[in-house]
Amino acid sequence: MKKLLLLAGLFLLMALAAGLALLQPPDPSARMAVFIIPEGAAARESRGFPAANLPKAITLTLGAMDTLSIRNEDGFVARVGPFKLEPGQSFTQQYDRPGTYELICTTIYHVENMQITVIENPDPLKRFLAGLQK
Amino acid sequence: MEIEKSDFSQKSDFLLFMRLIKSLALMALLLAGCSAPRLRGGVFSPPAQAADFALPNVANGEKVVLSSLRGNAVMIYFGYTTCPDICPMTLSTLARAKKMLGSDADKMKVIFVSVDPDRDTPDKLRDYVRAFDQNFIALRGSEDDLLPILTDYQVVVKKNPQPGSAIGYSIDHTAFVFVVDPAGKLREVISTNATADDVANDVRVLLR
Repeated sequence: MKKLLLLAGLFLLMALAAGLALLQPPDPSARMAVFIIPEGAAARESRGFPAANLPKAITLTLGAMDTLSIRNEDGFVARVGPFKLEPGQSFTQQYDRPGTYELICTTIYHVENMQITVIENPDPLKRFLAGLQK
Repeated sequence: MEIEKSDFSQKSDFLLFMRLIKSLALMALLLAGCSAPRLRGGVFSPPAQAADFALPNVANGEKVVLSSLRGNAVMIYFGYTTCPDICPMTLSTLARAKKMLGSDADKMKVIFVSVDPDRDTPDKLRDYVRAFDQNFIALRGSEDDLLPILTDYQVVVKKNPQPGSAIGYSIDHTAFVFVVDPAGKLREVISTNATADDVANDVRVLLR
């Protein structure tokens, strides 16, 4: 009976550890790629200056369930890919499959091409935890 | 006397063991709650009201008003029947997703808006969408009717002449599915690489 109790206790501890790992991602900053279309972006671009600091290419790691987030802090509608972001609105996408995705991001005056590459995470433990989270 | 002690000890161990099992079950429930299903598409936050529109339904000629579909998860797709790949693939995914929903299937409405009214006659459109699902709704309006809707949804439509081909031209068009929640808000866009399981999951999330 004592062995059974010991085993159950051990299992409980393991479940607790797994639960904590799920509740607290190891590195939150690495899991969310946030890009901001800043206030005045459309106005600056209309004057010929670069507006939004959006990279041409970003890479997300699939196994870590990395998330892309684009927030429009400008007072004008911005276009991200085939849809529009109202002022103050965010677009968030968590990619579940590896691949290359094209996003065309425009304010009202300018076009930014943006390519997102989603790669597999080689860490099997992270893949397992991400699978549990899904 | 010794025997009684031993019995007491075994009962106590058994109770303790049962408590541990209960704790494990509670923890499993907690973990299940933490990994609640999420939307798998590209999500807008905060969601804005979906731009309303009304276009004739090719099945009966009556206008379908988007806002009249409140209470459902509405998938809006802009395409054309001569589309060689993306349109049939997407409609097929949506049809499979609908089948996966069981009793909730009738709360998933699929609207196919033709971006090629010149070639997509009402009969052709009706037969086309019914080949995927009897209840898919096909809407067809004139180019003038379509323009404000395409603008509202930022849908790009570009005709590409195909000289020498039987179809005459192909159309480049936005291939995302726009998803409107039961409250009439544009909640997300679903990309063409989404699976039927992804779509069914999102409909379930929206109908909760």
